[in-house]
Amino acid sequence: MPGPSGARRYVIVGNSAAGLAALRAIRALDDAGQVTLVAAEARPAYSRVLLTPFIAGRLPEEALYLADAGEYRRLRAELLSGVAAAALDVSRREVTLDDGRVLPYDALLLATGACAAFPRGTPVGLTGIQGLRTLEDARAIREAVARRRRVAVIGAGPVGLKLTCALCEAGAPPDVVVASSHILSQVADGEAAAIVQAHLGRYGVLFHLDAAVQGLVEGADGLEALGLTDGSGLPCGLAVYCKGAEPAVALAAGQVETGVGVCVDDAMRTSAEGVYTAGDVAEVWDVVACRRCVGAIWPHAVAQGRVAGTNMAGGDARFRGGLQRNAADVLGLPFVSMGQVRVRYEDGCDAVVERTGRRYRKLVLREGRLVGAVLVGDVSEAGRLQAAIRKDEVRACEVQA
Amino acid sequence: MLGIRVDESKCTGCRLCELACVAAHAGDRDTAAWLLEGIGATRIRITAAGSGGGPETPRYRVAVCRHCESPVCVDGCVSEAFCLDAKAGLVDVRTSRCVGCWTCVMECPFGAVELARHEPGALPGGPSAFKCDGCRELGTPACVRVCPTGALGGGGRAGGLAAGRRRGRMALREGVE
Repeated sequence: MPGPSGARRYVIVGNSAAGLAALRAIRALDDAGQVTLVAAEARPAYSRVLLTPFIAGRLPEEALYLADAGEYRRLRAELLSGVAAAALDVSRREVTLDDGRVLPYDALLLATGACAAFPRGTPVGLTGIQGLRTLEDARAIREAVARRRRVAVIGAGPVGLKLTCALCEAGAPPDVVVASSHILSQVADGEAAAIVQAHLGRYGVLFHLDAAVQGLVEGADGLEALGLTDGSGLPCGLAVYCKGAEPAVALAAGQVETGVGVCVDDAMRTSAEGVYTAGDVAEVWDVVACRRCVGAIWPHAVAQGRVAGTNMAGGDARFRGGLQRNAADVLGLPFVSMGQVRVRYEDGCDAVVERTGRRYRKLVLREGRLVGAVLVGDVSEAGRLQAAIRKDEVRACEVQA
Repeated sequence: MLGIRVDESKCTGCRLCELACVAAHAGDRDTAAWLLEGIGATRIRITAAGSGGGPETPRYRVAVCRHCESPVCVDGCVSEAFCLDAKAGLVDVRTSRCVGCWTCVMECPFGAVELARHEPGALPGGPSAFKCDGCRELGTPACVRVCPTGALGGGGRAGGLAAGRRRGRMALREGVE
């Protein structure tokens, strides 16, 4: 039901990759609609992926922004920044903000993203304990490096790895605390991880494998040391937890179908009429896992945002399906991981591995079909491999309109 | 509209396109010296496709940017260094914004993007994306002009992912029609 003026009312909750892509897609189709963008952070949209080059000192802060105030004006979006959406009522089609304002909508996009995840019992809030998710987090890390405080990175997934590289570039190689027996345990096998780990070791990074944080020593100035499960103490002034992210489903919970994230179909529609979702909060069909997964990566967020925005404005677009993938430049050593990287014989998997020096290539096959790849040193064929993974998959093709 | 269309089945692997590409980007430099120095990297690469395929399998792979209508590299780019110039029908790279994260290399289904060091205007320290610029000033790309077999075509019609969908093959595209 359009508003009193007859124009369609769009509300976008979230002002990052997905929210901004949706806004641009809506405006490409609907010139007259009223678009309201709710941004919890009081600044224009910025790229979270660029936080690590910012920490490394390769980018100034201005370079992180994806849109300036002028762009929101050009797109005629009302930007409500520094306020959060507090409640959603899908039967009344209303979003209530934490300052009490109520926004009625014809089409709503939940692009609430994710929050840094911390292990249970972590004293979040103590000076020197933080995650890496926002510009504030990145500024705090830069400041700690400038004050020559020793930094520990907790977790060695893609984010932990990129932060480790950034700290090396900034001249402050960190200690890395890894719960598994090798780094990148979710996205690489032990052999590929060993190549990356050895490379980082040459830059002075110290790895603590099979270890977790058990306790901490607090001084007048905040954190002074971490106690690890192997009994050792790790002096550091800043511990950055890179233990993954949790989809921010609080707003959607109870109103639309949720799992780990907010469940959607390939048009980015949730279970409630007129409510769409995109980005790190969305649980989408994964072409390799063959179930819905939260694939919190940048290319997903932009593509999903555009698909959602197009459909919200009355167009017809479909998301081609999620595929978990990561690329990184590990201080000159390229690394790409895609799809399924673990070989499970019970699923009919096997792997083809080639290794020469620092070059490593592993292709994972499931019943003869390519389902995953890990490439280190030479990643030039990564794009073609991704296409091959998607090719035989029904979900790789666009749904006929 | 520029765009580059490729029919790999017609490629005989003569690599004239690679030479033409390097020569077209020599600028004011002596082309022969530019080639010999090895710094004039080509933006189109022809590689043997490997054996084992049937009679329909192309013998050579042509890695060059198709300047897709719905480019996945633009979606994937974390710093908005990749952008679509819809008017010219080109996918552009703003080198000064590129942080060298390899995402574009991972996204492009044609293997058309490389990362190179020492590109003019690049950020210090890392490599940056390097790919076909469509020979904007020439109108028709140099590689298309010299291709003797018609494996490369272009100009007038968009190629890449959107066209692939129209042919009903490997439809990887999503987004607005």
